[in-house]
Amino acid sequence: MIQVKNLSKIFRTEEVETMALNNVTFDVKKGEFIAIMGPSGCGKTTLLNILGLLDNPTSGSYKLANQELAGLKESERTKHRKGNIGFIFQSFNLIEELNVFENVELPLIYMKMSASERKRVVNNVLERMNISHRAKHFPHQLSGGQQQRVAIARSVVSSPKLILADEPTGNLDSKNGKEVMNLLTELNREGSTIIMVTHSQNDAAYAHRIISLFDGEIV
Amino acid sequence: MSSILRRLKSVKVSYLLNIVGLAAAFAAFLVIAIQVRYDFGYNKHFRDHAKIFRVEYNYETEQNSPFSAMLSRPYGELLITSSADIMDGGVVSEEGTATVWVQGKDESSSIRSGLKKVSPSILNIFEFVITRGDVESFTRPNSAIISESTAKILFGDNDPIGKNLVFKEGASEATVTSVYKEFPDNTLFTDEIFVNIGDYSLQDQSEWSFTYYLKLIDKEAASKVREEMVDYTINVVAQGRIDKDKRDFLRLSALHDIYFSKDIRYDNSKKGNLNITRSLLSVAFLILTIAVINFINFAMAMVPVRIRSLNTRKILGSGTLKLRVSLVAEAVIISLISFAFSILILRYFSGSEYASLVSASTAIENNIGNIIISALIALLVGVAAGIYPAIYSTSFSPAVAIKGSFGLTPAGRKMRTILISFQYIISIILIVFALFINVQSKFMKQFNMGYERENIVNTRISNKVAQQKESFVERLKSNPVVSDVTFADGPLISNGKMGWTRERKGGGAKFDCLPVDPNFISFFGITVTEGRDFTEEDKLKSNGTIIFNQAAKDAYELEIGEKMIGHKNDDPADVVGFVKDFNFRPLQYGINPIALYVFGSEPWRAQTYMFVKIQPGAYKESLSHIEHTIKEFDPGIKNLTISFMDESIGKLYKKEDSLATLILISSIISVFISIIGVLGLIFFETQFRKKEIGIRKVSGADVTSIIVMFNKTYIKLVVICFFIATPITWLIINRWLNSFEYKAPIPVWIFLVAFALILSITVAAISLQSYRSATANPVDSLRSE
Repeated sequence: MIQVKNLSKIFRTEEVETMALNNVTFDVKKGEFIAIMGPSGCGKTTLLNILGLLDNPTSGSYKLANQELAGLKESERTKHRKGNIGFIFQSFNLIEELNVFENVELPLIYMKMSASERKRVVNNVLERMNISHRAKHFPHQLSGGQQQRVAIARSVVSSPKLILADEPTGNLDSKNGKEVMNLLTELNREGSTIIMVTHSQNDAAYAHRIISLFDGEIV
Repeated sequence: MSSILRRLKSVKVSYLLNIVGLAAAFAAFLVIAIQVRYDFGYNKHFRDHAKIFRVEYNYETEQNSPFSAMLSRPYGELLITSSADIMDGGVVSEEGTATVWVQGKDESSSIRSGLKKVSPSILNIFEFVITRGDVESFTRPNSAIISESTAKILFGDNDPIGKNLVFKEGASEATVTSVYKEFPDNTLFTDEIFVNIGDYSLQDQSEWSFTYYLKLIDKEAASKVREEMVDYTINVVAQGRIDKDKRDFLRLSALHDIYFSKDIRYDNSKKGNLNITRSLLSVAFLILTIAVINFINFAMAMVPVRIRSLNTRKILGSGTLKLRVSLVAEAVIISLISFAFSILILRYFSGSEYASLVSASTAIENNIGNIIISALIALLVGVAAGIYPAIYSTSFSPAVAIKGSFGLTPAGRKMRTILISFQYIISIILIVFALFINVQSKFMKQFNMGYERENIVNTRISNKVAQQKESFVERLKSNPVVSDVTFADGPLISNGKMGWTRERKGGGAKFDCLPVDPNFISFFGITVTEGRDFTEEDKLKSNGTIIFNQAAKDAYELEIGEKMIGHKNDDPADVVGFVKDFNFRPLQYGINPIALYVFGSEPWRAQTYMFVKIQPGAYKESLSHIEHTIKEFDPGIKNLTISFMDESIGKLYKKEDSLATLILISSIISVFISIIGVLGLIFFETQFRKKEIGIRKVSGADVTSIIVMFNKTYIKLVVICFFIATPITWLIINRWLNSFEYKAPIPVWIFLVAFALILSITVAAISLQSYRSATANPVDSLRSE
């Protein structure tokens, strides 16, 4: 499903040039659960951002479902991202002014889904995540675990081909972290392809395969 | 202080926007304040201005009939003696503009100067400051007092005292006995030549052409003096001929009120418009309000940026009061910096063509007082705008401040929304009002005044030309570009015409009188409704011929064929016809009774106001031919100006036009300031909502959706503000229209234009500002902690 070939990313400032990724090559099959591990600064998040079409590689190839996506303009990346890729962040990144329901329905709004259809889909997902009783609450009224469940709900509401999780349990206690990992495992079993960046060996153990990065290279 | 400057440096853009907006507001306020102070300070230069009153007389005593500023000399002189509370009284006779030169020099050295004939007591009443000569010498007959600037022009460095002046009009002379310091521009007198009136018309009861001023012992004595004057008139002057119960025929107008009074006839003094002055004052404060609102909004929007640093200072030991004082001081510094920039804007304005919009001088050196007052206002603005944000941002406990996100709290948003709404409402009101003033001004200029105006030019010829009228007209008409010519004793449209009061059966008749040539009515296409038009034969009669307007006929039940004293007491004139009412005063006023009068074979004087009908399109050739012909008949004629009637009529509404332009400029400034405010808020919002924008983009939002999201809020706001502003503006316009006799209908398009303008500028500003955030890479805003 995903083919990454000789992917490189160089960050340039006036004073310094940093090679965040150096000729990274790997494949991910449909339905796989991949964990990407490595020390801080090794390029994990950079790789995830490129896979999520949030950033462009400096060179190399990135194919998702046989479509070359490296080097696209921002507007094209947004188009491809919409409905195809779901994100789960370490710091949840919920919008404070929107309640749980509204946060989860956001991707569906941008897919131009009708209000009635959105209501049906969102309610289903909230039910699934066991958070529907908090639909009218705002993020600051939820616990960390609940917020992450909302973030997961948002990431899967559009039934994306690919779910990218960047340290999903980083801000959670072990109980909530375990809950989140179980949820991800469940989603994977249902067919979602998941790529997760993590520091935690424990969390990595949930994955089918681990890709280790060190100084921007796969080791 | 250094921390204040460092804070300012760190948020350059936002404060720059704020300063620009404030500077524009202060500059607009200053310019308007200069005009308003000029108007409200009119005639207040005189130290005892509160004790000086003008005597005004109303013969009709009907409801709303206007008073007249003219009395006869016998009556006026008697009134001065009618009360012990009258300290002094004097007379002024307006003589218009005279051509004057120094005796012994050639007429080519002459100048045109305002001329007034006055009694010597006028110099005391109005506190003339004599710089050369003495006041006592002015009591001699045919003495003159001239201003310093006139003395400089006529005499150079030579001493003018004792020298004779020659006046072309009336072929008279006067001896200069003293020189006075010019009065400020906003006074009744400026730099005219004053000649001792002597005993001119002292015995003539029928000549009501003199204005009387009284100085009372104090201003509170005015009503008592008025009563005494009324009693004196009834008992002594009229000796029972006036109804004792009618006591409203006299009033005393305070000197300052003369400038704004409209219910007065035969008043040639410079006029202001109280409605306009008040409107300008309101506009000035509205602009200031918008700028203050902006300032507060900015300061409040800065709170979340600064609250952590303020909190840290608190934790490290800084007192709350000290922090608040520092924040208010910062606001004051910004306000004063903005004020300094506004002085630069004023300097530029004062040297530009727009300076003519303001009656007073806008030069900085002439407005030190205004600048000091405005600087104090700038100081107050800084304090007012800084206090609430200072208190708000220092009122959180450290624990709360360390955790909370203050940028986008619902309460903060609500307050900013309310403040921005005020700005929008004010801006919409100003734009609609400015557009309507323009509509009213155009309406007045294009109004059908009851006579032809197109392709007619007017000018004033000299007596020398007037004495050769027949051959002059023949020469004019020899060029086919000239189709017709007529003459009158004065301009067709003016607020001050010759006023006649004539006895007739059933009581007196009071009316304006304009002596004209026999072809005047046909020249202007005025409709004769009854009787006949003037004929050339009327010029041969000795007793004069009168045609009245409909208003005169209705007021006095005049009849064709009746006799009425014209210019000769012993040979009354014939009333031969009536014409349809036409507007012979500016459209701020209604139509009063007027008589068009042909002197006949024994005129008082030659008619020197000439009107020429020219062929359409041949303007340049016509003007050149007219000028050339006049100079042929009087090579020495000076200050010849030939203008189109439309232009001359347009000049009557100069004050309205100036107001419209000033308000339009003010509304542009207010929109500009409001948009700066919106820009500033969007700037902060996009900063604070950077992460949210990133999340939305990650969730699939494209650039357009992000821009639309920001625009939606403000578009809704503009729509709501429009619906609030519309009825308010409607009321304001209707109230303003009350001061006009002729009112333009209020068109809907001015509201739609204001709405479209504000909406389009808002959308453009927001879209431009939010585009940057909308196109930013979401990665930059979504960093893991």
